[in-house]
Amino acid sequence: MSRRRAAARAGAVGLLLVATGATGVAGGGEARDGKGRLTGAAFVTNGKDEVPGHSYTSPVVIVDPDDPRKLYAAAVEIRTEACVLFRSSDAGRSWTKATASPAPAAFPKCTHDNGFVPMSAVAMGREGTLYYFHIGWDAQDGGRSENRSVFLARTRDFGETWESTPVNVNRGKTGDDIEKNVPSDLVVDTSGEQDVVIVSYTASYPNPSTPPTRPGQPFVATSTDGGRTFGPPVNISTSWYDNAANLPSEAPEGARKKENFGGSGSNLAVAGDGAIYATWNRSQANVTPPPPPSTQLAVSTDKGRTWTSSVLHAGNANQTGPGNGLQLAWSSHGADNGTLHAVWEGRLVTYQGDRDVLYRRSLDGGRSWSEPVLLNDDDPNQYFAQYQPNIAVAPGGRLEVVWWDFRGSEGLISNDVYGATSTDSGATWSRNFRVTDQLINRRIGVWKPGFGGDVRQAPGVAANDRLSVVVWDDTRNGDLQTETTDLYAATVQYEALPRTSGLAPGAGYALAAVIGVAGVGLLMVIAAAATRGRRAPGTGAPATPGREPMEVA
Amino acid sequence: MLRGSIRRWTLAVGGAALASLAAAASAWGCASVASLDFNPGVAPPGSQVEVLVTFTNKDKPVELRWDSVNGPLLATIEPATFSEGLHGNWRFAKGTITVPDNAPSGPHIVVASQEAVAGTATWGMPARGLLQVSGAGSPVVGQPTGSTATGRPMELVSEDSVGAGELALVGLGAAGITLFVGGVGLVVVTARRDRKAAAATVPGPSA
Repeated sequence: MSRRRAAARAGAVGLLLVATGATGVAGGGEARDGKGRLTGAAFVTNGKDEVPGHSYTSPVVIVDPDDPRKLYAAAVEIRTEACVLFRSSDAGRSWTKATASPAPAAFPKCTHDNGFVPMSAVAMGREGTLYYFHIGWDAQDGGRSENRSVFLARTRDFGETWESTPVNVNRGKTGDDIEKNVPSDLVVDTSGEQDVVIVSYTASYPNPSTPPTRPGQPFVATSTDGGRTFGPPVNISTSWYDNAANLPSEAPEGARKKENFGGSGSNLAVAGDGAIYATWNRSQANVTPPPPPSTQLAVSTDKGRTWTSSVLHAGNANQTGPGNGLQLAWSSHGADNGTLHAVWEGRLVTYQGDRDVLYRRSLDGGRSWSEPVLLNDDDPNQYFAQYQPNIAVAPGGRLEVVWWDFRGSEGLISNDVYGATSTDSGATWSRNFRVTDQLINRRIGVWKPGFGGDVRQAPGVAANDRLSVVVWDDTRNGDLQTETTDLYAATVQYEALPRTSGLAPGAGYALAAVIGVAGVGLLMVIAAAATRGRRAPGTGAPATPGREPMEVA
Repeated sequence: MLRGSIRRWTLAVGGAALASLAAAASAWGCASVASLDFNPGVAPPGSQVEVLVTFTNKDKPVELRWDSVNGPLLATIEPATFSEGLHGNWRFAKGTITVPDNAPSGPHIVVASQEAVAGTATWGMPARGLLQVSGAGSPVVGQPTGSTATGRPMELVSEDSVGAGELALVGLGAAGITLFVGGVGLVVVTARRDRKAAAATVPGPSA
């Protein structure tokens, strides 16, 4: 709620001493633990401006902190390889597609072919500014697998117009210098005088393709002027590998050297005090056999200029590690300095290719972490797969985690979106709830081998204190010929939304009537006053002819 | 007639899927979710069915079990030694199973299992595929589509308590009515005073 609206409401309440407040909505629709109300699926890519056979990746979703009804969903359309933004101004019940592209004209394509890696990221700044971090390339850059650059676009008019800033441009690089960037994450620190925009991406070097090859590296770039300019990107793994003790002991001695190690998949969170947290997964080149996976947490307290890393968790026989990458979030609740939350796809006990959704938290700024807990509550003996969790934090501290879930597939290659909620900063979690209203056939669309396969994305989720909105890619309108993949959205509502305007329907007529009545009353008062005025001064008794006024001694 | 149609459809879909896999896996990424295809997709008890498992790990055999993860073992098959369009650690695995003689008609699950291989990743194992068992007099119902959630509301709940606009409106209305009543009262009082004043007037000398 905006301050202006809140002030208006408070004043009005004071005027008539009428208590107002948000109305709980439990009990309506499909209640979850008596707290939330789940809606049916809304059609995001609703056919307007869509070409037959469009195929979207699951989007990144964000809600405007000043307006609980205003939402954005950023997706990539696989066939045209374009960045697309969908907007909703009614809390996700209806959506429109922005006609303008956030990508600069010279770098119109927004796709890549790296498995399970985000295509783009969005975040909100102050005064309704939306930031959109994306990949960019064109035919002259050698296709999806060669030179690829990353850009930050920003809009203040709901996606109608965009301004673009290059973060790292690789056009023109050749030979061993060819550099391919893929986005990882984007966060905005709005606590200062200007938005501090932090982006992370992975740089890989496809040439030479034979040993010795170069491992990918995790970079973070920071803008301290609201995304107009960026400082030089910083490799957040460098300081870690500078210490030889941090090179994995499992690596063969000859391969255990700094230039063989790097990182990828850096997810970001920014704390209330401006500290920036970045997870990154260790990667390597020229190391056979590869060491077990390991995820680090890097921290910067100087707006991304320097970083200090520590191990968040290391893969071993009992924990398959980060898999598709870990999602990080920070909330101001749970501990005095807030809580860090991490969710990822893994398993507490390795079993075939099965995956679960795991969660842990840190109450001390990442110095220590809770033991991993399992969030999915399906029958553990059936080994149904859960993939690619995503997390959103509401300002009031509620956590919402969603993921792809195969528990209902009944032998089909199809899945749902499931979720779980925590209202105590991750200490306990709700029962799982099914977000999707029907199974999604994954034999067609962007999950299908050859059409995308591993470029699938996590379901998008955004949260505020009144609701959470989940958006996912859905093939219900597609078939094997069209491969159509649409986007659908569902809302989990916890509190009633404020009215879009202060006046209820029909209130305009009532207001006109009241003004009319008041006008008549005002005319009467004026008429009466005028009548009295003509007789003043005196007691009101009119002077009458035939008698002189009495004199007062 | 229906069985033949389904068989042709299954073959066509399977062939198309294999072709698209081979053609496009090199163009777009690599690892999808493991899956099973059957030929034919509908079979009577005791008959043989070809099984195609996609995205298995190349280094471990695949076990095919009936109706559950721990069900009766139907077959153990080896992943292909050549890629057929897949790459890295992933392969197709092809084999044949025999539908159990005592299998009731209706939909059944075949589960493909494969041990994890350290240092590699496979998604979707154990994988499940749906096989229809036909029988005398049993209708072929096709693949179930899973449950559909119904009865969910499409609209969100908005506040039904009094908002700021309504409060302002009520305040304005109260002020207006007060003004109206006050105006009427003032007019009435003024008129009465006029009448009283007129009645109390002393007549002047006549001309």
